[in-house]
Amino acid sequence: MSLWTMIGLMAGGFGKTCAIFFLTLLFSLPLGMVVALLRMSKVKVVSGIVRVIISILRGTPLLLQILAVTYGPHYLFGADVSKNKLIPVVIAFAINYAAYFAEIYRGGIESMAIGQYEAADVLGYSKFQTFMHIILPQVIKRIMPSITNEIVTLVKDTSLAFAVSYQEMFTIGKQIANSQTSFVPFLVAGVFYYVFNAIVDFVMARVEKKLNYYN
Amino acid sequence: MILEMSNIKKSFGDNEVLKDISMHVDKGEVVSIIGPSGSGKSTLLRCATFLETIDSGNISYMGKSAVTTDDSGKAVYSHHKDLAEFKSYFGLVFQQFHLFPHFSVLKNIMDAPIKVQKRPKDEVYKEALELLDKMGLTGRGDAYPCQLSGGQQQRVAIARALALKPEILFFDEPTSALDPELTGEVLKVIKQLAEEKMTMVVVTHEMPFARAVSNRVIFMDGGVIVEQGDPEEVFGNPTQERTKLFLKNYQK
Repeated sequence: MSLWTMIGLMAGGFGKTCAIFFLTLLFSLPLGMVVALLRMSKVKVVSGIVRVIISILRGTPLLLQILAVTYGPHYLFGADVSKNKLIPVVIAFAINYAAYFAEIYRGGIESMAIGQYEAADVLGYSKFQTFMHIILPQVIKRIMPSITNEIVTLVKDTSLAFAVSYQEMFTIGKQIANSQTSFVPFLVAGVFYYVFNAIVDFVMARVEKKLNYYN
Repeated sequence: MILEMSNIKKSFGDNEVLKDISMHVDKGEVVSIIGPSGSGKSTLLRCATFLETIDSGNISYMGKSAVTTDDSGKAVYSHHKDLAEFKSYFGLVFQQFHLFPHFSVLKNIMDAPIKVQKRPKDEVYKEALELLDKMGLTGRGDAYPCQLSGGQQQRVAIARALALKPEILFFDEPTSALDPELTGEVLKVIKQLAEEKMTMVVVTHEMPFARAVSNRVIFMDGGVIVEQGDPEEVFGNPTQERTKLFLKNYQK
């Protein structure tokens, strides 16, 4: 098999890699905020439960979580799981990344000086207005480097979908590597991820620069 | 009467910070509160602006009761919505400014009138420009707080508070975070407001300023009002030993 044939086959799975990547971000970024707010809840039971969930999600391998979400329904209810693997894969990714984003959001929110809340309070802003207009925009700027870190990791983590044979780029590459007893597909995959992340870096650097209009 | 506080008590744990304090502020009056650190003067302002909740006592603005005390001696705050109305009566200028760093100077001033008071944008914009002129910050509307000196930031903070047209303006040590050479420009602005008969309460360590600007000076120590009255009386001829000692130490 020629190099170009390999690249062509693997590129065919790139759409699915992108699907995991973008859908995970789409769901985990807002979900993480919900989790963060629950984690900071004044109701001890709520914050306690959320803390345990976050600790499990961060303390066990994502690979295991993907397997559990994809095949769990089969073992628990005898459900048929062979069909669309994108849904369980994205669910596993979104929940896992939401846990990490939640902790980043929480760190950002808790780092805000109390004075910002007090100034907003005296000026008459509602709690919701204060959070949306005063706190959140400052938090987003502060946590951007950490978010970028997670996004870069996510690009590489999409390859974990091979564990449930979801036909994304890395899964295809691995299959070619097996059938051709060649290491080349892995090198191709490495270049793919590197280029993908170079683009992510470029975009995020621009976003951070845009947020740098104040100190 | 703009503000009336009576029998205010406030403790942080076992530490009783305000011990049965009563004070009032009339329209057009400038009241300075002086006293050593930890005397409770900042806490008193924070209670008046609802940033701290009092344990017991009464607070009313414009003759309307915001906080009362029930039969068991516990403070009862007005309903959330009413409290929002009370908050519209006062403004507060912080020691550390607390401007919103992600807003331009103009947006810092204009945002609350537009978002909180729902006033038309062009009207607020016009007033914001006038306020900037008054604060000596003409043309700085597009700057961000981080690009301004401390004195300029504090003047923006004053403009931000004034933009909501409060009945009374509180200052919590407005020059304490500033380099000495920058305090003058802020004090000048406050003095100018005093001349325009703006009702103000100023917690300050600037004794000559308090003496020159106020109609009344309150000396606090240990959570009580030790002495109050005409600034010339309090500064020139204090009756209480503690006041004499404090002023003497201050002149050193």
